[in-house]
Amino acid sequence: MEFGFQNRILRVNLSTGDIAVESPGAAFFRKYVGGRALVSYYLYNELAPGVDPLGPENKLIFAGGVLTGTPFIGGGRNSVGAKSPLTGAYGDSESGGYFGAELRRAGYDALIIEGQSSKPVYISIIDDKVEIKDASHLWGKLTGDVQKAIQAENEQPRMRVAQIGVAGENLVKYACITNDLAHFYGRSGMGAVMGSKRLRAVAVKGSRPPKIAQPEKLQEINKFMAENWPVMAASLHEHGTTAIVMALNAAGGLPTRNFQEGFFAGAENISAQRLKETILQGGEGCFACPIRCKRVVKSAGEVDIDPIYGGPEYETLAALGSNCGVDDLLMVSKGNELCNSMGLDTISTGVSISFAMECFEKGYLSAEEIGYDLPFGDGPGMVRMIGQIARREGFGAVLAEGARAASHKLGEATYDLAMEVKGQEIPMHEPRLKAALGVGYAVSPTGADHCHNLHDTAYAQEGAGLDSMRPLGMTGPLPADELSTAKARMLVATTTWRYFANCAEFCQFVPWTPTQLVEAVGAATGWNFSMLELSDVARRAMTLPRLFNLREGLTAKDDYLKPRFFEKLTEGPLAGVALDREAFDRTQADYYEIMGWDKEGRPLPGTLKALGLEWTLE
Amino acid sequence: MTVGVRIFGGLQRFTRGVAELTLDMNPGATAWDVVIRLGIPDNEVWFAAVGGVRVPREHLLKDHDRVDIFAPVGGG
Repeated sequence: MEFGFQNRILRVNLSTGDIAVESPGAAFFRKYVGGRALVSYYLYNELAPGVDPLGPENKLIFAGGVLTGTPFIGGGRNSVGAKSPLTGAYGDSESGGYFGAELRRAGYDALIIEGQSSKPVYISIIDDKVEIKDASHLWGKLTGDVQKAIQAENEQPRMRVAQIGVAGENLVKYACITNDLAHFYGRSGMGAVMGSKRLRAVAVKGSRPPKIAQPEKLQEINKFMAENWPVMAASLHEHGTTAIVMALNAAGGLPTRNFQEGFFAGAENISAQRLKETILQGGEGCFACPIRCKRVVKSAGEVDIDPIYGGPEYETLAALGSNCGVDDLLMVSKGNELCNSMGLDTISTGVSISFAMECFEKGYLSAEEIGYDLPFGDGPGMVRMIGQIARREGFGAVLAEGARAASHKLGEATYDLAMEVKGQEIPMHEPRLKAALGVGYAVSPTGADHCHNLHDTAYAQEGAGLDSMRPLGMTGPLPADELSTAKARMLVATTTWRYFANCAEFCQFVPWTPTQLVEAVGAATGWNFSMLELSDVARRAMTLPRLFNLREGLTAKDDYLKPRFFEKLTEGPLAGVALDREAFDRTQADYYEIMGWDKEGRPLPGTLKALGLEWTLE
Repeated sequence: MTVGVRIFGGLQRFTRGVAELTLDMNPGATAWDVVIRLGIPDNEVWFAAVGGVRVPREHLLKDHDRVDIFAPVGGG
């Protein structure tokens, strides 16, 4: 095989020091085009059931997709996967930035890290030169210092570095992996897995990008986006994801005070507009993307914020802001900088702290236990707790285990206050505004997730976005609050598309249509892909994690949504609105049926055979 | 009557880049009359808010109201 893929999987064993390259071949890559498809294939095949997520038997897999590192606009995305220490289930996370592109340009479609080092190390990759190097001098340092040191000692100022921070070293269950200091594989606790292997960083420099079968065709597809993104993605360019704070609040769906409400009186203070007027320095981007949606903030004086760690996304403004009742943009941005420099997922961090704040206000947790008062709205308290979580100091050590584990420690009365699914803290999207998103949270193999999910509000009216999804089976708009068989069908169509994004690896914020993507993957590989064949790639990547979880002992009972979402909101435009339990359960059952699963959520033999996964039946 | 208007989420492409303006509206004007007045196509708008809170299209405006107009949003 010549095009699209490198046909090289790099395997590094940190217990033995063995380094090897495998070439699975064209037939394999056509079925598993990269990213989550590769990750789920290898994890399902190579992990024995019941392995300790933080033990040497777990494997950490970095995988680009067929478009990662190509000139395709938005082709900077890539995945990391492992068994998750946060959920005990299949885990993965995606990031933009430059690291994934550089790994593919160094000649590798994926990097599989096995075993466990006895001392801190990092992996250095410069094309064929792969080395395991000592990292004792980097342990305990901030990510900015580590990146600088690695680039200097390898004499590669443009070496791309993916690394954990202090939180990953301390095995905080929702530690993230960062790349280029301001891009994050945030979810599923992948940073803790890396920390358990005593692997501080992977640094890579490449000089042999994947070859494109039809470069003129890819260029022609790119030309459309190069000409149209300034209009189609104007808001993303100007404000990044922070743009949606005001819209979601006005709609009543901005998570507030641990999801107790969906309307935050202080929203304006943490909005994109306020950010722009105050501490915003500008925008940053990812490999092969002109939109540059990432924010960079800086502050000096009363609160110092280092711009090398980027700036808050929407998820962070809400998780550390409204959901903790904090409307102080400086405190939220400081919290973001601490999470980024110490390697914590801002969503799980925010929701773990908001859990503690609600427990404190309801009397389940005392100031003595925390070490200080921690009510909603306490910005300095929130910032202080972030440092304690990363260092596992005091009550921070309890929250470092995640909201679910913390609730189990505090007692049954607090179980329902831990806003999580399968142990993964819920991201900043409210199911009482976006009803089927709640079903998507419940059925997601990685626990609550907003990226491989349906945002009902995006398809509630006719428009270009909905039109682009018709080839995947979306037939018309549906109200955001509807739960029905038709909505389950829409959820399946959208999650299929979003899984495909995480396999071929392109950014979902670049407004490509599914039809354009099929053409792009065809141009990259020279293979005559159809929508059906690529949908099957996505379905494989949706099904293997499900099988992985069933093998780990998870059941349909783990596909739940917390009782809070079935209770009425009391403030804002959605006051009086709650999810209907019966409609929710019916839609979830419809999702199982449409996916070809039985009532217990087990993929049927026919489903597996249709996807070419009959080997999993053996 | 006079109302303040803010335009969010890329809808500024229909207002020549203007993000904030003041409009004189006739008494009895509704929130959606602002959308129509600005020439923003119907299916491009998710909803209008008054005072930061979503209102129905037929919501009657008052003097000095602040109207926010939002495009549909997906994830973040």
